[in-house]
Amino acid sequence: MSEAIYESMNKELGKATTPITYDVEKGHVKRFAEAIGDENRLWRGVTVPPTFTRAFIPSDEDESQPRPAGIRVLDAGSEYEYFKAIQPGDQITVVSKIADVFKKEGRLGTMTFQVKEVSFTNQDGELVATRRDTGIYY
Amino acid sequence: MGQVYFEDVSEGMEIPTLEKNPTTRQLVQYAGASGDFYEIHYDKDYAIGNELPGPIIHGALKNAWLGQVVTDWMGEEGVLKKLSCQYRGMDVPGVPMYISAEVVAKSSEGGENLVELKIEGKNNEGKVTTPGKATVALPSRG
Repeated sequence: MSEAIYESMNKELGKATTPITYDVEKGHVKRFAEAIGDENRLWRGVTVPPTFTRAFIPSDEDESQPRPAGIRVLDAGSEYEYFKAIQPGDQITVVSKIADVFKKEGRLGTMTFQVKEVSFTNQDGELVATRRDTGIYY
Repeated sequence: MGQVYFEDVSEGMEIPTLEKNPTTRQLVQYAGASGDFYEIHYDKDYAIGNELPGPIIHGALKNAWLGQVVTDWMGEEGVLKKLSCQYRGMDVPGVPMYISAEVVAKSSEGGENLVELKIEGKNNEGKVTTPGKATVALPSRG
Protein backbone atom coordinates (compact mmCIF):
# COMPACT_ATOMS: atom_id res chain seq x y z
CA MET A 1 0.00 0.00 0.00
CA SER A 2 2.68 2.45 1.02
CA GLU A 3 4.60 1.92 -2.25
CA ALA A 4 1.39 2.54 -4.20
CA ILE A 5 0.82 5.80 -2.30
CA TYR A 6 4.33 6.94 -3.11
CA GLU A 7 4.03 6.03 -6.80
CA SER A 8 0.68 7.76 -7.26
CA MET A 9 1.88 10.94 -5.53
CA ASN A 10 5.15 10.99 -7.39
CA LYS A 11 3.18 11.04 -10.67
CA GLU A 12 1.42 14.22 -9.54
CA LEU A 13 4.65 16.03 -8.66
CA GLY A 14 4.66 19.64 -9.84
CA LYS A 15 1.09 19.59 -11.21
CA ALA A 16 -1.04 22.54 -10.12
CA THR A 17 -4.62 21.95 -8.99
CA THR A 18 -7.58 23.59 -10.74
CA PRO A 19 -8.03 27.01 -9.09
CA ILE A 20 -10.96 27.29 -6.68
CA THR A 21 -12.28 30.60 -5.35
CA TYR A 22 -13.79 31.27 -1.92
CA ASP A 23 -15.68 34.30 -0.61
CA VAL A 24 -14.28 35.51 2.72
CA GLU A 25 -17.44 35.77 4.84
CA LYS A 26 -17.42 37.75 8.07
CA GLY A 27 -19.57 35.17 9.89
CA HIS A 28 -17.28 32.34 8.82
CA VAL A 29 -14.22 34.21 10.10
CA LYS A 30 -15.98 34.78 13.43
CA ARG A 31 -16.90 31.06 13.73
CA PHE A 32 -13.31 30.12 12.93
CA ALA A 33 -11.98 32.49 15.62
CA GLU A 34 -14.51 31.09 18.12
CA ALA A 35 -13.38 27.54 17.29
CA ILE A 36 -9.76 28.47 18.06
CA GLY A 37 -10.84 30.36 21.18
CA ASP A 38 -9.29 33.61 19.95
CA GLU A 39 -11.12 36.75 21.01
CA ASN A 40 -9.00 39.23 19.05
CA ARG A 41 -11.18 42.15 17.91
CA LEU A 42 -9.51 42.08 14.48
CA TRP A 43 -11.12 38.71 13.67
CA ARG A 44 -14.57 40.26 14.11
CA GLY A 45 -14.84 42.06 10.78
CA VAL A 46 -11.39 43.61 10.18
CA THR A 47 -9.12 40.81 8.97
CA VAL A 48 -8.64 37.04 9.56
CA PRO A 49 -6.63 34.84 11.98
CA PRO A 50 -3.20 33.76 10.65
CA THR A 51 -4.31 30.22 9.89
CA PHE A 52 -7.71 31.05 8.39
CA THR A 53 -6.47 29.99 4.94
CA ARG A 54 -6.90 26.42 6.23
CA ALA A 55 -10.58 26.86 5.42
CA PHE A 56 -9.74 27.52 1.75
CA ILE A 57 -9.38 23.91 0.75
CA PRO A 58 -7.65 23.21 -2.59
CA SER A 59 -9.84 21.68 -5.31
CA ASP A 60 -8.15 18.26 -5.14
CA GLU A 61 -9.00 17.72 -1.46
CA ASP A 62 -12.63 16.70 -1.20
CA GLU A 63 -13.43 17.07 2.49
CA SER A 64 -17.15 16.48 1.91
CA GLN A 65 -16.51 12.73 1.61
CA PRO A 66 -14.76 10.30 3.99
CA ARG A 67 -11.19 9.45 2.98
CA PRO A 68 -10.58 6.16 1.15
CA ALA A 69 -10.09 3.27 3.59
CA GLY A 70 -6.56 2.06 4.14
CA ILE A 71 -4.75 5.37 3.76
CA ARG A 72 -3.76 7.06 6.98
CA VAL A 73 -2.57 10.62 7.09
CA LEU A 74 -0.70 12.68 9.65
CA ASP A 75 0.01 16.35 9.39
CA ALA A 76 3.73 17.07 9.95
CA GLY A 77 3.72 20.86 9.84
CA SER A 78 3.10 24.06 7.93
CA GLU A 79 4.94 27.23 7.00
CA TYR A 80 2.94 30.36 6.25
CA GLU A 81 4.14 33.52 4.60
CA TYR A 82 1.95 36.63 4.49
CA PHE A 83 2.07 39.46 1.96
CA LYS A 84 -1.22 41.28 2.39
CA ALA A 85 -4.05 41.17 4.92
CA ILE A 86 -7.13 39.18 3.93
CA GLN A 87 -10.39 40.99 4.67
CA PRO A 88 -14.04 39.95 4.80
CA GLY A 89 -15.48 40.53 1.32
CA ASP A 90 -12.31 39.37 -0.44
CA GLN A 91 -12.41 36.54 -2.94
CA ILE A 92 -9.48 34.21 -2.49
CA THR A 93 -8.33 31.80 -5.18
CA VAL A 94 -6.41 28.73 -4.06
CA VAL A 95 -3.96 26.69 -6.11
CA SER A 96 -1.94 23.83 -4.68
CA LYS A 97 0.88 21.79 -6.11
CA ILE A 98 2.97 18.91 -4.88
CA ALA A 99 6.49 20.28 -4.49
CA ASP A 100 8.20 17.18 -3.13
CA VAL A 101 7.54 13.51 -2.36
CA PHE A 102 9.89 11.25 -0.45
CA LYS A 103 9.86 8.01 1.54
CA LYS A 104 11.16 7.28 5.01
CA GLU A 105 11.18 4.23 7.22
CA GLY A 106 9.69 5.00 10.59
CA ARG A 107 7.86 3.49 13.50
CA LEU A 108 4.75 3.29 11.32
CA GLY A 109 6.54 1.36 8.53
CA THR A 110 7.19 2.97 5.15
CA MET A 111 5.89 6.50 5.23
CA THR A 112 5.45 8.81 2.25
CA PHE A 113 6.10 12.47 2.94
CA GLN A 114 4.35 14.91 0.69
CA VAL A 115 5.21 18.61 0.57
CA LYS A 116 2.53 20.85 -0.90
CA GLU A 117 2.85 24.49 -1.84
CA VAL A 118 -0.42 26.35 -1.66
CA SER A 119 -0.93 29.89 -2.95
CA PHE A 120 -3.71 32.34 -2.07
CA THR A 121 -4.50 35.17 -4.50
CA ASN A 122 -7.13 37.87 -4.02
CA GLN A 123 -9.69 39.33 -6.43
CA ASP A 124 -7.13 41.92 -7.63
CA GLY A 125 -4.66 39.21 -8.60
CA GLU A 126 -2.40 39.96 -5.61
CA LEU A 127 -0.65 37.05 -3.92
CA VAL A 128 -1.77 37.49 -0.29
CA ALA A 129 -0.24 34.40 1.33
CA THR A 130 1.51 31.11 0.68
CA ARG A 131 1.61 27.96 2.74
CA ARG A 132 3.91 24.96 2.58
CA ASP A 133 2.38 21.83 4.16
CA THR A 134 4.05 18.54 4.92
CA GLY A 135 1.83 15.47 5.24
CA ILE A 136 2.74 11.90 6.12
CA TYR A 137 0.81 9.10 4.39
CA TYR A 138 1.10 5.55 5.61
CA MET B 1 -3.57 44.68 25.43
CA GLY B 2 -1.38 47.69 24.63
CA GLN B 3 0.82 48.15 21.59
CA VAL B 4 4.35 46.74 21.71
CA TYR B 5 7.05 48.79 19.95
CA PHE B 6 10.27 47.61 18.34
CA GLU B 7 12.35 49.59 20.86
CA ASP B 8 10.70 47.75 23.77
CA VAL B 9 11.82 44.34 22.52
CA SER B 10 15.11 42.63 23.25
CA GLU B 11 16.57 39.23 22.45
CA GLY B 12 15.74 36.61 25.05
CA MET B 13 12.55 38.40 26.06
CA GLU B 14 9.63 36.09 26.73
CA ILE B 15 6.13 36.97 25.63
CA PRO B 16 3.02 36.02 27.64
CA THR B 17 2.19 32.30 27.55
CA LEU B 18 -1.17 31.18 26.20
CA GLU B 19 -2.98 28.37 27.98
CA LYS B 20 -5.47 26.19 26.14
CA ASN B 21 -7.83 23.59 27.54
CA PRO B 22 -9.00 21.70 24.46
CA THR B 23 -12.12 19.54 24.47
CA THR B 24 -13.51 17.15 21.85
CA ARG B 25 -16.32 19.69 21.48
CA GLN B 26 -13.75 22.27 20.40
CA LEU B 27 -12.33 19.83 17.85
CA VAL B 28 -15.81 19.43 16.37
CA GLN B 29 -16.16 23.22 16.29
CA TYR B 30 -12.80 23.49 14.54
CA ALA B 31 -13.71 20.71 12.08
CA GLY B 32 -16.82 22.66 11.11
CA ALA B 33 -15.07 26.02 10.86
CA SER B 34 -12.03 24.77 8.94
CA GLY B 35 -13.72 22.10 6.83
CA ASP B 36 -11.27 19.42 8.03
CA PHE B 37 -13.58 16.53 8.89
CA TYR B 38 -10.95 13.81 9.26
CA GLU B 39 -12.58 11.43 11.75
CA ILE B 40 -9.46 10.92 13.89
CA HIS B 41 -10.22 14.32 15.47
CA TYR B 42 -13.67 13.53 16.91
CA ASP B 43 -14.64 9.88 16.37
CA LYS B 44 -13.12 7.82 19.19
CA ASP B 45 -13.76 4.41 17.56
CA TYR B 46 -12.28 5.59 14.27
CA ALA B 47 -9.24 7.05 16.02
CA ILE B 48 -8.61 3.85 18.00
CA GLY B 49 -9.02 1.86 14.76
CA ASN B 50 -6.17 3.99 13.40
CA GLU B 51 -3.94 2.97 16.31
CA LEU B 52 -4.34 6.32 18.03
CA PRO B 53 -5.09 6.67 21.75
CA GLY B 54 -8.40 8.39 20.92
CA PRO B 55 -9.29 11.64 19.15
CA ILE B 56 -6.23 13.85 18.63
CA ILE B 57 -6.06 17.60 18.22
CA HIS B 58 -5.86 18.90 14.63
CA GLY B 59 -2.29 20.00 13.94
CA ALA B 60 -3.75 23.06 12.26
CA LEU B 61 -5.60 23.99 15.45
CA LYS B 62 -2.34 23.91 17.41
CA ASN B 63 -0.83 25.98 14.61
CA ALA B 64 -3.66 28.49 15.13
CA TRP B 65 -2.69 28.75 18.82
CA LEU B 66 0.93 29.35 17.88
CA GLY B 67 -0.40 32.20 15.75
CA GLN B 68 -2.61 33.48 18.56
CA VAL B 69 0.21 33.76 21.08
CA VAL B 70 2.01 36.01 18.59
CA THR B 71 -0.94 38.13 17.42
CA ASP B 72 -2.08 38.64 21.05
CA TRP B 73 1.36 40.04 21.85
CA MET B 74 2.20 42.06 18.73
CA GLY B 75 -0.85 44.34 19.02
CA GLU B 76 -3.00 45.78 16.25
CA GLU B 77 -0.12 47.65 14.60
CA GLY B 78 2.08 44.56 14.44
CA VAL B 79 2.16 42.66 11.14
CA LEU B 80 2.71 38.92 10.99
CA LYS B 81 5.09 38.08 8.14
CA LYS B 82 5.80 34.39 8.70
CA LEU B 83 4.50 31.59 10.90
CA SER B 84 5.58 27.98 10.91
CA CYS B 85 5.22 24.94 13.09
CA GLN B 86 6.05 21.27 13.20
CA TYR B 87 4.01 18.50 14.76
CA ARG B 88 6.44 16.34 16.69
CA GLY B 89 3.99 14.80 19.08
CA MET B 90 0.27 14.26 19.39
CA ASP B 91 -1.92 16.20 21.76
CA VAL B 92 -5.30 15.10 22.99
CA PRO B 93 -8.41 16.79 24.32
CA GLY B 94 -8.61 16.94 28.12
CA VAL B 95 -4.92 17.75 28.49
CA PRO B 96 -3.99 21.43 28.76
CA MET B 97 -1.49 22.98 26.36
CA TYR B 98 0.79 25.92 27.00
CA ILE B 99 2.09 28.03 24.13
CA SER B 100 5.15 30.08 25.03
CA ALA B 101 7.47 32.18 22.88
CA GLU B 102 10.62 34.24 23.14
CA VAL B 103 12.35 36.82 21.00
CA VAL B 104 15.40 35.29 19.32
CA ALA B 105 16.44 38.09 16.94
CA LYS B 106 15.60 41.63 15.88
CA SER B 107 16.70 43.53 12.81
CA SER B 108 15.76 46.47 10.60
CA GLU B 109 15.52 45.66 6.90
CA GLY B 110 14.05 47.63 4.02
CA GLY B 111 12.29 50.07 6.36
CA GLU B 112 10.76 47.28 8.42
CA ASN B 113 11.50 46.49 12.06
CA LEU B 114 11.50 42.73 12.22
CA VAL B 115 11.39 40.50 15.26
CA GLU B 116 11.86 36.74 15.18
CA LEU B 117 10.22 34.53 17.74
CA LYS B 118 10.79 30.94 18.75
CA ILE B 119 7.52 29.35 19.82
CA GLU B 120 6.91 26.20 21.84
CA GLY B 121 3.62 24.37 22.19
CA LYS B 122 3.95 22.16 25.27
CA ASN B 123 1.76 19.64 27.01
CA ASN B 124 1.22 19.55 30.77
CA GLU B 125 4.35 17.44 31.25
CA GLY B 126 6.45 20.15 29.62
CA LYS B 127 7.09 18.14 26.44
CA VAL B 128 7.39 20.35 23.34
CA THR B 129 5.03 18.65 20.90
CA THR B 130 4.66 21.65 18.61
CA PRO B 131 7.71 23.84 18.04
CA GLY B 132 7.41 26.82 15.72
CA LYS B 133 8.73 30.16 14.58
CA ALA B 134 7.32 33.52 13.62
CA THR B 135 8.52 36.78 12.11
CA VAL B 136 6.64 40.00 12.85
CA ALA B 137 7.10 43.62 11.83
CA LEU B 138 6.58 46.01 14.74
CA PRO B 139 5.95 49.76 14.74
CA SER B 140 8.69 52.09 15.97
CA ARG B 141 8.32 54.83 18.60
CA GLY B 142 10.49 57.00 16.38
